[in-house]
Amino acid sequence: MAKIKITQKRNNSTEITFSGELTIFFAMELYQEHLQRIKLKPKVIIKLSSVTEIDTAGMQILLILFKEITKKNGEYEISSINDVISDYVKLFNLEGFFSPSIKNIEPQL
Amino acid sequence: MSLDAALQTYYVEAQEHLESMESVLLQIDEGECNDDMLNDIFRSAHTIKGSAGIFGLDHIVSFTHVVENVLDRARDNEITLDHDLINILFKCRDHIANLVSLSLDDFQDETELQQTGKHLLISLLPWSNEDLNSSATEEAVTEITKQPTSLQKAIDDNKCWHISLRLSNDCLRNGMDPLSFIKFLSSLGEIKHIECLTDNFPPLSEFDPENLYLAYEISLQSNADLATIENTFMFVQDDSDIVILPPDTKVDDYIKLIENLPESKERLGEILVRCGALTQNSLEKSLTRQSQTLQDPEQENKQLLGEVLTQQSTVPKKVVNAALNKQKQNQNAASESKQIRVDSDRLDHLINLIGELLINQQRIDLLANKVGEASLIEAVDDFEGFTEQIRDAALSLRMVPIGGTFQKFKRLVRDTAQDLGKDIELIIEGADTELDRLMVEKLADPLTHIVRNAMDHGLESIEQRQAAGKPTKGQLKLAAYHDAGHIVIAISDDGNGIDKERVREKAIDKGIINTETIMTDNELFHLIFHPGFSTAQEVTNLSGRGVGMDVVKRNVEALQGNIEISSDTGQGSTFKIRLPLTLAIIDGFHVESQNTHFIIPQATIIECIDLNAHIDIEGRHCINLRGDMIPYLNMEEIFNLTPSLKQETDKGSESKKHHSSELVIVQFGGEMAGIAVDKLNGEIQTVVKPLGPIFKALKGIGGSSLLGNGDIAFILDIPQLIELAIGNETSLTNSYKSKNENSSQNSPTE
Repeated sequence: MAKIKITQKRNNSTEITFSGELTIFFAMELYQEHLQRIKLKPKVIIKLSSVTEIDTAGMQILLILFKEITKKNGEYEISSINDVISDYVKLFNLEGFFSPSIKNIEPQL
Repeated sequence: MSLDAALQTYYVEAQEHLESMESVLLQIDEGECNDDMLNDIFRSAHTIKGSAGIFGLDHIVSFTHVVENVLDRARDNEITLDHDLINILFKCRDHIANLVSLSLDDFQDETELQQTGKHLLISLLPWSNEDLNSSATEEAVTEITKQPTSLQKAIDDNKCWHISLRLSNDCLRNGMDPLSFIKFLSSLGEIKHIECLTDNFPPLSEFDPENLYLAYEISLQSNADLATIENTFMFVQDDSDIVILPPDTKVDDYIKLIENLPESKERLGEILVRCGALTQNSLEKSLTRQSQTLQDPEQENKQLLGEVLTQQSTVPKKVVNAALNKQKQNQNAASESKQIRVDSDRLDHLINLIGELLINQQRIDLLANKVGEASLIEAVDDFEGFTEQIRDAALSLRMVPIGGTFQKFKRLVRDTAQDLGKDIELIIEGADTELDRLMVEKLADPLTHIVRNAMDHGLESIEQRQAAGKPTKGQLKLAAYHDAGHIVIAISDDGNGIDKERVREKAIDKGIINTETIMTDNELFHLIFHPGFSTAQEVTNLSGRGVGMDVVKRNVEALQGNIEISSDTGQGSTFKIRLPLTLAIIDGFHVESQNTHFIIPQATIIECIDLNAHIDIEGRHCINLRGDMIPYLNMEEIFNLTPSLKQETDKGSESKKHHSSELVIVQFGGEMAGIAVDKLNGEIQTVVKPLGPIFKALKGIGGSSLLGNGDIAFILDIPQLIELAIGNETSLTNSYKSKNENSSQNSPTE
């Protein structure tokens, strides 16, 4: 099972925690129930350390999320990661997406 | 899960490839050898390896790789497939079959199998690729259990392939994760660089999480050939754009690739530079040149022509090979698309349902006739026509040609002949004769026993044959054909035949018969089916243990078939296995005797005649039918049927005047007999229900069936009845008379 927890924080940020199997079997559910109409604050914190498995479909979910954030001029930060994810990232040279410059959270008006 | 299903498909396909490898090897062994066959066998090995790689079955990949290598060299005419090599290749094929049957984990526990694999690889050494000098292969052999992929790695450092993947959108949905391709590619060599292109991602709201949006540019260092790399993507070829550029591709071709891809040129250029396929310098130059040529159409044409030429001169052979492979694969794909694999249980269920449908149809038929409404009867008739068609169509689903089973014997015969030091040729006839799949499966064992026996005991050694003035090459023939609603499978050899005297001696020895017993040849031959009977002077590892032939008989009888043996001393012997076409539903002929219903299988019936119009030959239960003497059986006597009240008879005194008025002439395997009954009710589709084990001893009844009105009908076992009729007739007076007395005593008199 894949789980996603989305918390809208007061300091104008959104925290998204992925856990479980981030695979094709759960991709549709994740997308339709949580991501399709997700509300993103300018700052997004993404936690990935509890992901137990990831495949290409799962990776696409992360990538589309990153792209969406960037498109809306937001910023994201991967606050935790594990070997499952980083192995995949290294194999496919996706480091560019996973190490965005982390900026301080600026309080917005 | 889809991966399991795909793995299952892989096993089935691997099995098919192994079978085709075997049959091609056999053909080559027989001296026919051409490029197509070498290609076939190479492709089989190659596909097994390739698909195994996708599933990470490294133990299969590493072994098959070496075999493939040898086959590849044979294909390129660098080596020839001589007898020794073919022997090793046979063993390799068997080893691959063993490997395929094991999971990777199980394989690691099978030290014996690993040893076999190593020995085989070592024996392949003299033929394996010269690139791998012998020490390298040996190294690979020793390393094989530890690091299966080391074999491919350590070879050539300079070759860098560029692979551009724009896979089909449905790729993920179909259970193909690009991850698995990348993993397999890394088993072919080293992946230098992968670039993931995310340009195709739609806006979040239009995103389909099961579509593949990522595109890949891969730089692979490997000395595998184009076909190998191409085959990695075999499962996703359709709807995908895959460009594979060989290591020494000209810059122009890269430029062309960039032009053809959907992404922007500059971006792709950068990516290719990052992949190491192009240098910044050459990219810039080429791009400028390209833009110049675009302005000058004439020059462009020349340029394109030049590209074609460079392509042709750099990789002619590989490209041609790959193209050929691709064409053939497409052909395969086309024929595969016409087939569906179905679980046989589902088919059985369908047949059962159709059986019930038939019974119900008969009930409706009966009711309609009772009501007497013309239009209803007409409708029911139409209905009957369709149920018949449905039945035939469903039954034909289960039919498979026996050729596949026969083909397996080629290998058995070859190996056994080699072990025995005999020269034996296997001839196959009627390979496309179809019979029930279940029967094909159950026949494999009995056939193996008979074939082995024929080779071991039947066919003589080369010296003996020469002494007898026969050709040194012994002949063994497997034939299948239809005969009177039955399938006959004949196994014949031109060997020594069955030694009647020895069979007799042995039977007396074993106490099966006593010295006075007089037996016909046929009865004598059937003694060999007696448990524990073997006439072989010495026990070989093949046969002679006396187990086998009794199993053969039991298996064949379980399929409602029988075995006929004929043998001429010095000329050879023939075993004929007769089997019903199908076990589930038959066309029957419904007859009645003393209000008991019987079904006679339609296929055995020759004609129906009026019994009273023919003269009964005194005391012999025979009639004269157009000059032939035909024995007949009276159903009520055979089964001791109680006469019904209205049909008052006195059989004891007037045995000639039995009330049975109809005679059905049946035939089985060249023998004819009549069955006397009271009433002929006509054709009926019969759903065969087997009788319970307590009725096993009951001779003459093969099963039962439910009639439309709910009555039970017995299906007559014609072969047994004919045997009985002929037995009665030949043993003339004694047995017949006593039987007659018995039956008259048993039948109640009024």
